[in-house]
Amino acid sequence: MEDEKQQGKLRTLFDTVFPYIKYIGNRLLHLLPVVIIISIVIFTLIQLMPGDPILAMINPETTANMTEEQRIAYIETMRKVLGYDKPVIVRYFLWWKDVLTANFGYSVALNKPINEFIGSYIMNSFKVNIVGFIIAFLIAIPIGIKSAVRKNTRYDKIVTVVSMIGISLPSFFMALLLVLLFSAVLRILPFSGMVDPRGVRPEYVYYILPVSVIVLSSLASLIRYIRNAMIEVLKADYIRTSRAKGLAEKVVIYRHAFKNALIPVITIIGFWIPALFGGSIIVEKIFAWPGMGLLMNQAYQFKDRGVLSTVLLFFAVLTLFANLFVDVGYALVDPRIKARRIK
Amino acid sequence: MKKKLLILGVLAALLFTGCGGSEKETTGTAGGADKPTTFVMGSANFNGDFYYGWTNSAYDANIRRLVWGGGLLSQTDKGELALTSFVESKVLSKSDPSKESEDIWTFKIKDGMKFSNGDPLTAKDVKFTYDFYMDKEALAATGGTSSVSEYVDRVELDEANNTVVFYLKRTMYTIGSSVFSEDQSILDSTMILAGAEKDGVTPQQWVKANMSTPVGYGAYKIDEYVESQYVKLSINENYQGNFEGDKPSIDTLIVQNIPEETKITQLVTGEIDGLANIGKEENVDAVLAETATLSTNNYFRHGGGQITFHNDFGPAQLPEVRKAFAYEFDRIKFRNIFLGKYGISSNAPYSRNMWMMYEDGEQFGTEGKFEKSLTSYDILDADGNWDEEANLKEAHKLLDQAAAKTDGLYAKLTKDADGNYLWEGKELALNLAITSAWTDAINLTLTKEVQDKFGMKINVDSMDWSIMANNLYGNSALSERKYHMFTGGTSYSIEYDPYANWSSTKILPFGKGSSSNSTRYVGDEKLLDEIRFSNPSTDEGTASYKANWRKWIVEVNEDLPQLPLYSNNYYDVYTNKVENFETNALWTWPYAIIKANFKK
Repeated sequence: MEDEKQQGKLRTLFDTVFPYIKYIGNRLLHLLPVVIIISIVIFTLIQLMPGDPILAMINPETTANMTEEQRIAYIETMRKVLGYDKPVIVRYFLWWKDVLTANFGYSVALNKPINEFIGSYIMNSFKVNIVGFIIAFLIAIPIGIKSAVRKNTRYDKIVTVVSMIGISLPSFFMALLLVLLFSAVLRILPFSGMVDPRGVRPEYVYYILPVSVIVLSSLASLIRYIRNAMIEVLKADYIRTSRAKGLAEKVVIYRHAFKNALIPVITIIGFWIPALFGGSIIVEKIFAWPGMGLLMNQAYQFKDRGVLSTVLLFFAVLTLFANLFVDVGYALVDPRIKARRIK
Repeated sequence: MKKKLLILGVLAALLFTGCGGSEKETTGTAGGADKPTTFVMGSANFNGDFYYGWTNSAYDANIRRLVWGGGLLSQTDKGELALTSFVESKVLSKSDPSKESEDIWTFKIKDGMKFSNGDPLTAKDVKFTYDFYMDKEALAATGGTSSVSEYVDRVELDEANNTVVFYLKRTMYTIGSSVFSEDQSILDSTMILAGAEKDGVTPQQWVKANMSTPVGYGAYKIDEYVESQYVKLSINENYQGNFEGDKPSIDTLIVQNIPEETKITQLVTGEIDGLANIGKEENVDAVLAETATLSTNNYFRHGGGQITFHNDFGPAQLPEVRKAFAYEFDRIKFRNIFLGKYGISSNAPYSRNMWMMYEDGEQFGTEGKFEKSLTSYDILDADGNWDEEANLKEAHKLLDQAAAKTDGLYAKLTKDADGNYLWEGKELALNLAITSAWTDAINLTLTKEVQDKFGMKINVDSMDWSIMANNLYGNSALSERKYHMFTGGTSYSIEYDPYANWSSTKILPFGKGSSSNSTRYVGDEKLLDEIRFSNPSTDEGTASYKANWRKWIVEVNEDLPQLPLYSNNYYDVYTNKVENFETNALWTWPYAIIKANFKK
């Protein structure tokens, strides 16, 4: 009897989850050609970049004492070592081979294989961007909802004004302002870095300022989106019906209204996350935070083609996954979409 | 409400307990008599390439100086070379007196020397090091490079006497710095060979794979390296002392990656203890205002920024055109925009840290008699300001002289009836390639008004460094040749061999490869050879080096294949809790920190 119950539960769970897995699997298959097309575009654009990667890597002063024949031979050796002597098409497939074996090529700026450091840069970016975004989202939900519910009250006006200020402030300015206040004047937070070399401060205090900048720079816009989405939903007939049925206001707002307001918000999140990574260049630079934004900046400056290809591919894949997240998110919050897509 | 207050309270408690904002924890820790001391030096980011031969980062080089501090020879605070403390003697001899070119330098290593990890440091390690760098194939296979084999024919080991013998290809004035100084730091063969054998790779491959954890014999050893964050070093107990016998007293040294945007604030607030090479006016003034907490060392940079002409292309081939451009270019205005008031301009490739610039008794760092004798390309008025009218007159005089000539290239430069200068019948124009950092200062100096007055058009294009480098070095990736001038920077080595960058043998046909004589200037080749092959071991050789070097400076001052724009007046700044931290242009902070100590 117990076993049957257990089996029944498992079957129900399977019946609920499997359509989603199948849907995600299908979407991933559909994404494959997109990834290939994007990779061709990225690779072509990188190859079209002006400048010689080998010359950019070699310091002329270090080879100054070589004879010209030795110098040319050295440059050609480097070209071979780094695979730049092969035709572009061959290099494209070699690049894919490298990517699929998690060997992303060689950084001419850092003079080491990319797979030796790319993982830590990705993780560092995730640490500040995702944590920052989650905190911003959690703060924005109640404020945005309250602002919508109390539309045109003093509370709403204050939130609107503060949001507009937040949207208007560039993140680098916000970062420097926070550094000035908390590091230079109050001296309670470190200026930059990820860890205290003297081992005095705990690691988490190094996250406070960069995460705060991500939170503050995302918060204002998120509040505005949630507020506007909620205002639209609160006008709907079914909300009036819910209230007429005598449901508690909290139930009306959070169970009925907010769930529907989430649809446009999910769309925003989907586009926001990749943009957040790309846009964190300034934050990562000011806080000496070695993330993907900083890496992309360095790679661009040094025309570090291998790193640039890898970073751009990362952003492309992130964007595609964000789209997948949006699609699954729609299905989760909207039964109509679920009925159409998850069978 | 209570819940909210509780959450806020917990968060605040976490923040304040975690931050530990007391001054003791965030500034240089002098501690008490027995407490260990820590000094935090701010730095731009390093690659983590702490072995010589791979990196091109000056910040990695600072770590190398702390870990090794020199090769068989190491420099003094005056830029001279002395035996490194583990070397007992150096003997110079010749194998065959009839062969003038084959000198033999013999180094005896002191017995009982050790690397920082306790491995023995012997002549065997010296031989291993030179073989390591002279195996160009194995080195190049890992992306490394070394020029040692250009100077050294072979190295022999006398293990019984702990001695190593170098057969040099030819005596050169800069042989000490090129072959025996810090670039050829001695490697720990015991560690590297064991590691290479264990991993089944070549020693070069093993070093490449362990680039961030070197073992040396210098004042400090690396305890911890966190990529893009910091290097933490502690005193090497096996260190034998620098050229004066000094050993470090600061227990822990942290070299920390500091963002450019906040570095001065971090220094002023005591978050870090030192910064080197501060040169921009706003930064210098900010630190000079903090006399209560900061000390400074001031010197002129051993190098600077310049405009390099391509002396084999278009109108830039004519010295009169180059010099007219120099008169057109208000270097004082440029310096003020680019750096502020902390800088000077030289008139040839020299710095005020070069001993060859001075007579006996003259003060280094000042404008000596020799420098005063050179032509300045800034004519100043009685108040010391750039005199536009006088500079204009001089520029026109030069262009008129050139236009009046009709032989060879000069036939291409003419002057029409309206007084306009023409090159091959078209408006006289020079194309200048710059990188973005120079854009504002160049554009504000070379205004249209100035160009119109001088009658020479300057087309300025801003681009990425790598694109500019292709144009500057004449690389084959270019579809067409366009630029006559380029902006850039130079740092001089402690011993300077102009042959390396100025010999005509270093020029390849444009578009066929990469020329290291980036000015593409053909000067007095015999003079370059005489400078290069002066004997550093004799007084006559030294005197000959100085005299010929001065002749060469006069030549390039007259021909102006390159226009120096600025040399920074640098400040090295550090907490005044520390004393005896005496840096200069040649004695950079990794050397000077050895003598520094926290005040009692």
